[in-house]
Amino acid sequence: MRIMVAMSGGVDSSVAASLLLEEGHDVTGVTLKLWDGPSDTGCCSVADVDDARRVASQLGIDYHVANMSDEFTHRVVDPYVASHGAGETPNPCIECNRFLKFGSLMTMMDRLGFEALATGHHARVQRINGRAELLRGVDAAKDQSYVLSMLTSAQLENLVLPVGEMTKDDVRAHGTARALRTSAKPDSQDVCFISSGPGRRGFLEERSQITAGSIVDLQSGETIGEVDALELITLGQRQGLGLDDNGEKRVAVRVDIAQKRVEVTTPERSMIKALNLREDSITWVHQALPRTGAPVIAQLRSHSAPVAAWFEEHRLVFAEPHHPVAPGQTAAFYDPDHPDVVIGSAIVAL
Amino acid sequence: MSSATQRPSLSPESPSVVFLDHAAGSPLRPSVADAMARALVGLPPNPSGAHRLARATRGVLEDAREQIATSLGVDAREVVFTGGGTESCNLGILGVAAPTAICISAVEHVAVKEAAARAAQMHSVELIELPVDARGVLRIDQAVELIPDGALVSVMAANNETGVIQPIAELRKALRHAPRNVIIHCDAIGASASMELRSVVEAADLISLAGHKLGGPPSCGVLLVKEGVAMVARVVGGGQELERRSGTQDVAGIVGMATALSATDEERERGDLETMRIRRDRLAETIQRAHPEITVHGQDATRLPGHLHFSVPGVVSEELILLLDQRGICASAGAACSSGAPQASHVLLAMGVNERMARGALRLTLATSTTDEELDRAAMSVIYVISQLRA
Repeated sequence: MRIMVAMSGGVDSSVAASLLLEEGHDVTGVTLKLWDGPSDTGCCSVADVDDARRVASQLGIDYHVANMSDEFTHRVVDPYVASHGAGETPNPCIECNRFLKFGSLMTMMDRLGFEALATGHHARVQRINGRAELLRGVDAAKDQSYVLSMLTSAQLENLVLPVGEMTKDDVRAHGTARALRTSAKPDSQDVCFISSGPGRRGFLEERSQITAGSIVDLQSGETIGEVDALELITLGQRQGLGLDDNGEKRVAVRVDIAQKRVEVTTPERSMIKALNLREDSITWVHQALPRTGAPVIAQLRSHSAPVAAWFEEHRLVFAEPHHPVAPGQTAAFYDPDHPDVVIGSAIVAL
Repeated sequence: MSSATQRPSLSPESPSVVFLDHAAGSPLRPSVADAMARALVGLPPNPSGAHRLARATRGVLEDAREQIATSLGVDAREVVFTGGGTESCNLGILGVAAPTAICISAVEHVAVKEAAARAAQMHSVELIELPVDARGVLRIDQAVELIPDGALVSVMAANNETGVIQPIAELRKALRHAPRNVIIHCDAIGASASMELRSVVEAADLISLAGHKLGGPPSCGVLLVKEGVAMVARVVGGGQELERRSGTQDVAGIVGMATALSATDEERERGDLETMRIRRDRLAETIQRAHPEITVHGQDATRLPGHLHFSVPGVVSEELILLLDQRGICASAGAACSSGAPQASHVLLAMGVNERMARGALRLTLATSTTDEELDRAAMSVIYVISQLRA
């Protein structure tokens, strides 16, 4: 098969390219240049591009850099800033996957005559009953099915995830055995367009208004403190918001930037029974709309424990009380009968 | 797409590969490789010793300096060797003492742009951009108005992307007439392989050249510094290059550069550049006949004979380059960021080309060694790939 491999300059996509080549495929590596500004790997992440280019040359495959920086700004960075301004906590990696890697890049892959796109994500694509399904990666600690949960069956048909069957240790061992430059490179942790110097706060301050506000106790209605940046508060956060009467850290349960306040309560009272989902954000792998009462397994963070829940219209109702989830975050849904199989995703509404 | 699954060889000498990215640097000429190999056999590399062997190395170095000086019509003492084109431009701009302003054309190479911004900051003077017209040619009337007395002016001999030749001699004449007493630096790096430089050398005070654009070695450059131009060294140490640049000279590289420059002189005298121009125009016509929607940049200006830079509407450069690369055609977008990703060129934007068209730029650059057969293959591939992407 003629396969385009999205190479980030990390070990997973390096090994993905190597595996496909060893399987006899015709492999071309492509790195997306997404961000024009400073990053922790140099301006335009040049160091990562250099790593990917070197691995491609070690493998002897064709390699190109595609510039999608304008689209990245428009689809990921600008919405990221706007979302913070609205009191949400967005997940830019999911939006990048949705619009760039599995949007524009997949379209480009098809237009350029490739038969499939491959990435280094730790997840699996398998044909079950004749349909392409997305499954969790074999290495539970590294599973990335959450950040791919917005993919549809049409996208999965053209997707290859070679490292999903491997543990991270196996991936590194494969790279080391072939002396790939990226074999021992640490995993990327943070948002790629935010550098550690100015951090998230500096990034947002440069592009938007930062609002100071009061910390208001939900029960008493009293102002019990101040915060200097409401936009940086994540709903459910327990840091920096003071202690309750039992000496426990208070929890942010509502961020209201217009009223310049964050409402806090005790951990016990902060627990929620249901979540509203943004209607236009709901995606299904197979386009099957859920019946009210249909059970799912929901995962609310990249590596949080999955929980039982069911749908009521555009609400997700938890079987057990759940910690608050910040609006802007993604809920990934898994099949309760096959808990490794992704069935859809949605963004948590304000 | 079966044709693309059979991958071309990686070697530029392979008959299946057509190298049309000479503006980025031509492969080393065999005559240059020979001259470099001979240059230092049995000699120590450092020409700065007090003994007979160092003197012998110095002799090789000075022979090359004189060869370059003769080729360019300057005095040997005006030839300063540097570590490459970017360093030449940096010295030619940052090394000028006390300018009242820094004025550069809107289409300069980033080596000049960045050095000019640094120089303006260093001297606390204004950085003035000199506009070009839609053909990419400097607007001399506006330039004369914008350039103050005592300024350092940097305008390239020909643009590295479009190949458009700048009127350096006319600019000097207009500035003399104004009158403005200025220092002119000219980046002749992109022009040197395919243009007679005498008039530029006559008009400018500082001229930058680089070996690898001539089929010589990279990391070997020249800055011509006309007699009387007050310079401050920026790379300091032993002061080896007439106190204008320190560091042990790369004698083999310098010999290679001198040999390459002489080879380009011979090509020009033989009329090879004219043959190349005819081939380039035929390539352009063939592509335009099949795809009249393309825009050739600088088509109405005087251009270097080996440059063909055009935009394809509705297409991005990297897709053109990827598909051409698969077919063994080595091409460029013309402008790329430090990661190597094509980007909308500041040159095209300065010419008034819109951002969308600027993102669909493709640069094909020939050498005198490029053959008709190679260009026939390239034209077929370019036409096919544009059709595929616009389908």
